[in-house]
Amino acid sequence: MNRIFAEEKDRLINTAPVILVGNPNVGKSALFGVLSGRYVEVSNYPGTTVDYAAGWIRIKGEKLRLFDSPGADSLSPVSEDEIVTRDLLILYPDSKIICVVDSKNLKRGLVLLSQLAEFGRKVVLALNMADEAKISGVNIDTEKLSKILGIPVVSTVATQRRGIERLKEALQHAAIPIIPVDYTGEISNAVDKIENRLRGICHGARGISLSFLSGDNGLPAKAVNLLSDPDLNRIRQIKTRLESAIAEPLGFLIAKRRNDSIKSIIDRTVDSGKTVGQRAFQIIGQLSLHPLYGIPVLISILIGIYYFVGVFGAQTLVGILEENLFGGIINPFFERIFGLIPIPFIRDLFVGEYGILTMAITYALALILPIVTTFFIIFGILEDSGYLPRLAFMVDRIFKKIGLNGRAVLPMILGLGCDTMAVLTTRILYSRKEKMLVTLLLALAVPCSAQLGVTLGILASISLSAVLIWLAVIIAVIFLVGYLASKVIPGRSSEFILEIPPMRLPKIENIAVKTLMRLEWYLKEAVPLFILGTLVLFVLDKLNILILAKKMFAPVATGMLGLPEKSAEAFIMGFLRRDYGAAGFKNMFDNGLLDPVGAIVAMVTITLFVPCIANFFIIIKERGLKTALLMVSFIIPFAISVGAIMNLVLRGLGLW
Amino acid sequence: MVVKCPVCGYRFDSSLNRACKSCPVGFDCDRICCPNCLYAWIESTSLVSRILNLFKKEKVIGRS
Ligand SMILES: [Zn+2]
Repeated sequence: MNRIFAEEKDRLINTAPVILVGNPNVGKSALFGVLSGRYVEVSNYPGTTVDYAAGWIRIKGEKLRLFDSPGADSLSPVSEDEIVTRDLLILYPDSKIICVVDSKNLKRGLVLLSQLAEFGRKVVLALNMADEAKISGVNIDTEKLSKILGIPVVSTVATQRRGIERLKEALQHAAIPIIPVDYTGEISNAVDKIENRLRGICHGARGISLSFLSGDNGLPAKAVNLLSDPDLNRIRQIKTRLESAIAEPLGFLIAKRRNDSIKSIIDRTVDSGKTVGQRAFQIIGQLSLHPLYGIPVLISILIGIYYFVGVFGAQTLVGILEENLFGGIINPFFERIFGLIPIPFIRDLFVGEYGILTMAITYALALILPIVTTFFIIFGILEDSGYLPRLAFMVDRIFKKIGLNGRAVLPMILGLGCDTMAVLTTRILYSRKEKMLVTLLLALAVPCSAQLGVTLGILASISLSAVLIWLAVIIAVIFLVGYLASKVIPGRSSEFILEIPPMRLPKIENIAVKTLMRLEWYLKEAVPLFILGTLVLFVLDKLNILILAKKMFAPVATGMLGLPEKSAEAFIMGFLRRDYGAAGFKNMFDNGLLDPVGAIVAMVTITLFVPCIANFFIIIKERGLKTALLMVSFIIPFAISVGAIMNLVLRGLGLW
Repeated sequence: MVVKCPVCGYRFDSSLNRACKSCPVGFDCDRICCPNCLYAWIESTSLVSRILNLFKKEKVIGRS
């Protein structure tokens, strides 16, 4: 390398550079282009796949190095881009920062800014895309914001080169932002302790301490190299100790505190003008959080689900597919084709009473698919509109009020998850009583909202009162789980929502993609089990065991539950997958084998049944055969007793 | 992959499977589970993603 060039490079590196830092997609690169002019080098950040741009910026005749960091939402890095951004800051401790934010989403930008403050960096805030903000009616009081933050704040439109000179000018007055965040006692103590050990080793000790506590990538390589082994162990110990004292992920709590203080700044400086539609959504959003008015909002959503999933999906669509398409065209076609095969065994295997095509595939595609599709569309809308956090908040508040654990039941209400046990198993349980309770919870609360959706849809095609009765039972179970959970995991803080996003109209293409992905997932999980279940029935039938099983099950089915003998089939299917069992009952109902009371009793029983055999096997694997059997030995009698009680009550009332 | 939970807003790296580690059921499922609130959802599936990528490529070609 040319010696003179190298010397010059050294000299320049020693002068403090300017670094552009900002969230992804806020026009940072455009701003970089405007600030740096023509000469831009793109280099790969060593040891990563991340590229960053470097150029020069001229301020009052002085030429300074200018870096464009990769986009980052946080300096407690989660992605490689964020790690590189953080490392660039550490590499150039004297650099001045231009923090570029999208004026339409100041909040997101201020999260980053508050971390720059924690890193002790001198910053100028560029409110980019100011023109778009103006169009969408967002008004930011820049003067006031500047006063509160104690740093220069400049509105820019990088694409039109607006505000550029003022931004350059402001760089001379760059200062450390003032964003006081109140990390509560324990966290604050831990931060202080870690900060003390990092000070003198690395610039930005406070920022690094917080990001170290927040996640896995928090400690930059530089700090790891410079820390002595005892010091490194000590700070890791501080983190572990804090983690075990607090139930929530630390990263969540730290982000939450930060968000709270940023919200108060936003409230004082941003006037987000809204269109009529946006205002309407805002009002619905506020109503849905209200302890009283939230309930009618929830009820109207449930009514919406009932009509869309239960009436449109389970009646109209299923009618077209099951009766017309499969019953009228597809299955007769296959029956004719397979009729040509002279071996009855093969014929029955595919198109017989328990045939793979006539039963498994028909149930999956004609009965379950339309219901689950409509259900997933609704779920996608709830997710994208921002209603789910509100529902979670409301449920949690109700449960908290009556002293139950709301968080434990959330996965059951919201989740497509088998996750309740995740909460429970993270805690070490000591007594036998606690272990029993956990087992019980596992048994009751293994949820799968997709399966519940299918059951709901099928019930809706029976009658509205069936839906309501079933819903009441499910809600009772949810409360039971909440009660038991509060016995097992008492005193768990239920602060778990970071931010409640504004209500908004979901984008159709997003919903479509989400629905397709959920369908793919569902079909992959469910159809193989449907086929397996059908095969089991087929084999049992051929071996004449099925008829025996029906006879053996008869006292329970007909005696206790008031169901026909044939319902044993649906229970066998339901043991493999709950929704498949529900489909079996629906089929019986449609063929006049079940009366409305029988249908409700059957559906409630199957809902409380083992949700899915695959899950069951994994529970055996992970928690042992004994626990798994214990689960089953509780679930099945429990489900049957609830069903039996419902049978007595409903028939006793004589409503039908 | 960095994801943001649609319920609680927590940002995390889904490849770490933090929540899955303590879940006896979901070691190998396609769901992403938030380690904070335990909401589980589907973020991508092979078939749909592949189809979407096809569309994206076409769009890029169309533009250039
Ligand atoms: Zn979450």
